[in-house]
Amino acid sequence: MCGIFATTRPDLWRDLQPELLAKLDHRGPDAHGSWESPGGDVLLLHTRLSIVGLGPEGAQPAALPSGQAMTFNGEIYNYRDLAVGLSPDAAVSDTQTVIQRIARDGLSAMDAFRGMYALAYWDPASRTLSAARDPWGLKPLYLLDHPSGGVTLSSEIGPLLLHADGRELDPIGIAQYVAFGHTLPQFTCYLRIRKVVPGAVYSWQMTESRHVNLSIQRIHQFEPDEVPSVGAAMEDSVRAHLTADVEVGVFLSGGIDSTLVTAIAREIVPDLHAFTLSFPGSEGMDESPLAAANARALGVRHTIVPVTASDMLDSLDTLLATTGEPFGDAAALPLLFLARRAAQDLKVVLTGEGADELFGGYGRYRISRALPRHHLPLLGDASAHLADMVYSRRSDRPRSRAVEAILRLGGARSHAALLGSDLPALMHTTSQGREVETLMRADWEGLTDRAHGRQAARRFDLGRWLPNTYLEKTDRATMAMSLEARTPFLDPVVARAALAGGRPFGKDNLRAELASRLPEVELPNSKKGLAVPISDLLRGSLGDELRRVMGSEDSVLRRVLGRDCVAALAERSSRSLTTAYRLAVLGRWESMSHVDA
Amino acid sequence: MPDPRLVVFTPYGRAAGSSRVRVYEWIDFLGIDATVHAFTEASAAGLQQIARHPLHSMRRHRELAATKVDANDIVLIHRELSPFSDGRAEERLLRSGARGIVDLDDGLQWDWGQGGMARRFQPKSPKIHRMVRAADLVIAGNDLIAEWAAQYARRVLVIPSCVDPSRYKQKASYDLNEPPLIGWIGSAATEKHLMGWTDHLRESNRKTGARVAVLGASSTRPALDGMIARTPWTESDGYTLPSCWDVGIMPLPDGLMERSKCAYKLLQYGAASLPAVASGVGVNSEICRTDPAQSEIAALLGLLQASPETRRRVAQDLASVVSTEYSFAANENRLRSAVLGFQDPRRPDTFVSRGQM
Repeated sequence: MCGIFATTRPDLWRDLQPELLAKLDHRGPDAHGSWESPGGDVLLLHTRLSIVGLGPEGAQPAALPSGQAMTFNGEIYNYRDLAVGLSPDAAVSDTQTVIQRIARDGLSAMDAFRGMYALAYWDPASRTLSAARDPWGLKPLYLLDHPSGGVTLSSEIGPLLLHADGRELDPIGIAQYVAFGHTLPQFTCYLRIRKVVPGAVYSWQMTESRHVNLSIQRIHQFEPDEVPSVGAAMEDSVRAHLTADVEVGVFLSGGIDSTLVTAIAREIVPDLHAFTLSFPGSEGMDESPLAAANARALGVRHTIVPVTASDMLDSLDTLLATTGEPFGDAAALPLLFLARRAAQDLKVVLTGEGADELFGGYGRYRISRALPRHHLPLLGDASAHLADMVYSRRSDRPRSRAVEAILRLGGARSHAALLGSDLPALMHTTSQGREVETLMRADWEGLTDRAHGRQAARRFDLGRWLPNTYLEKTDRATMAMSLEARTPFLDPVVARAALAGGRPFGKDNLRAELASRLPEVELPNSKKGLAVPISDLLRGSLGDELRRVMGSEDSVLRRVLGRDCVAALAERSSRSLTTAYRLAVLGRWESMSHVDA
Repeated sequence: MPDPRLVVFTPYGRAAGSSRVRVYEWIDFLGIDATVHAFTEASAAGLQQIARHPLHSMRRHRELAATKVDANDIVLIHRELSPFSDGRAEERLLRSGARGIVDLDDGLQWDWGQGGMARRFQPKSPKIHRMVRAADLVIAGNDLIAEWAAQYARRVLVIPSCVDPSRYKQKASYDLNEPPLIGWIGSAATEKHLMGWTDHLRESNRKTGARVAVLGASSTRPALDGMIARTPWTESDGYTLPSCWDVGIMPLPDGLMERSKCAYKLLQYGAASLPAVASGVGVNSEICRTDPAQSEIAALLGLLQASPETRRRVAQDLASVVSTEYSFAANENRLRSAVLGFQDPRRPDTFVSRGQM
């Protein structure tokens, strides 16, 4: 896992190389490298976290004698299979496999990759810079369009802010953050910085001027020929995800997903090391006793990492400093703290991320199933007023979200309610809020592709919610501590098993698989997820940030979204800790980055 | 097997900027033998136009939806088949030929009926999603549309809206008219954007005596009455009139739809070697590379009060960008190969014909 940077404008960035590499150091502290094409067309940078191919064959940016060059972040678990017919280096390092396969077979070589990646590849013959992200969106890649022509790519937003072109704020991006706690695809909180679409290969061909012509093609994700059983698929995937030349550990909570990953990994790695968070003083949220019991039963080394509100606030500043953009999921804070501890012993951990979306594990899917299939325009208008009233009074509890979702009569607006969005507060007070609602509806239309009910909800979650919240959270929190997180559930073999026709919706099959491997397993009575005591966080300096961002005439919130919107959000934040936390983080981000609207 | 035939569907006639610049002028320039089906020969197909001839409109829609194409044909749909379609007819056509291409130069994927009650019951977003999924190739007018389409389409290519500068009368003198003329090209539907600069234009008038010359709009908006001169749009005036103005303008508010626009007005100003000021929204900021820190009104006044030599230099910079990046000649190879050939996956910007695959 690494940090990458690529630009078709070396003239703008050449002198900033030391600062750029320093900004990406946490993603790859083991080695730094840079490469500029002979004609000065492109500059590639790389910071390396050595995990596979620890020798010089894994050094980056990688360049071939024929002139192609690449900077690559990620892991290709089937690289040894793909190395057949390539030079001997390719059997040792996935970096060599990737560059040689693309040079030989073209960009469609990525169709055969099993893993997670973001990369930038330079082809001097066509003077084309290409960039891609894996189809799940596991690895981040941000794109800065220079108004004077050309593009720059980076694993994180922070490096792109070193140039003035990147620093202009985007009111629509900020509205997305306020509504959802994250920005949508194609957007960030900065006007000229966008996320590269997962599963797409962008190619910019350079013209004689600094202009670049864009074309994009989809990656057709590798799929196994046969539909495996869930157990066989998970075993195959965990084995693949353990591919490394360093020790691999696991993040273990009290739930089914990470316990199953741990149980399978333990069968392959006898001396497996597991890490679990605990929240002293918040017993209702603490799954560490369950995790400890399961760890004992499995016979894994187990480290419990207690985290306090003060630790989490320290984590917030680290997170904002490394990523450059606010992020509204409070679970990122304890996760970062856990990653800090795990990184003292390991470079790689497995996590249970993605199982709920893939297997349909969320309780909210029961509501999605009951929602109307077709849009009802006239009834919808009447019901929307009731839904708005419920929204303005409801808490964060799933049950109250469900009431709002039902009154919104299905589709994108209902799903937004189930996800706890603050879209209504924005929609009724700002033009940006209405733009965000438009984007949400278009996303829903595109991703669900005429499906309905819980199938539609799952498609949306896999395509949007997962990459933009949970995967961003995991990457940001772990890479800030130089720790690589791998997600065995988000694998084409497991996806085939989970989504095959006739397979039941829900996690019964995972539960059965776990019981067969660990009959004495102890599981929580209800799903907790990574619950965070947000009220504790808001008592201290973060509470001050909330008051400032809501009250100050010149806060970014007021300047971008206006007085009416701030008033609506103030009302919401008095009832919703989720809203209050998002706004407080926005304030903290503003204080730290001294942004100008 | 006969040579592939290019069958093009576009909602409007030549008088509509979008159809003219994305379909008709391209076909003229490339000299391609194409069959063009337009829903209307008029410049718009809104509720008012349809209400005037409802039966004819419905009949025309049915004709288009029933159009047969050969398996060897290349089908290109610009925007939509008709305002009545729900995407199914487009989907069938795109899948019927040898290759289906969708051309988008606007943020129709985000159209959920913001245009009024009629649009609310027939938003364009669902049909655009359906078309993009069915297409072999999406041609996008800018990166924003392309990146949206890349989430659903197999292949996307950006070809900006283009102009042919040789068709435009070039501005010869940069001495100001008396009074100075600020020019704007647009339709009644987009005149609201011009009115967004009412204060700027009044201040320009107060400080320099400048008046506003509008080509194409027929509006009852009174905000600038007394300082506006309107000329109905004709194709020949579109090529000649901008050269008579002193400064061209392209105001745009910042929103999703506006960010999706392809800056046709600016391209026309550049093609006529007219200096211009534009809101830095979407493609505008890449074409009109003025100092982004400078306010719009300061930029406008700056041009009106500058020396003729400064105006000439600004106009030449704009004309150069238009000529090298946004002209038909600069994009000919990309479009020709996109429409008539297939993209080679190993060389993302190279296309080969289907027979070579």
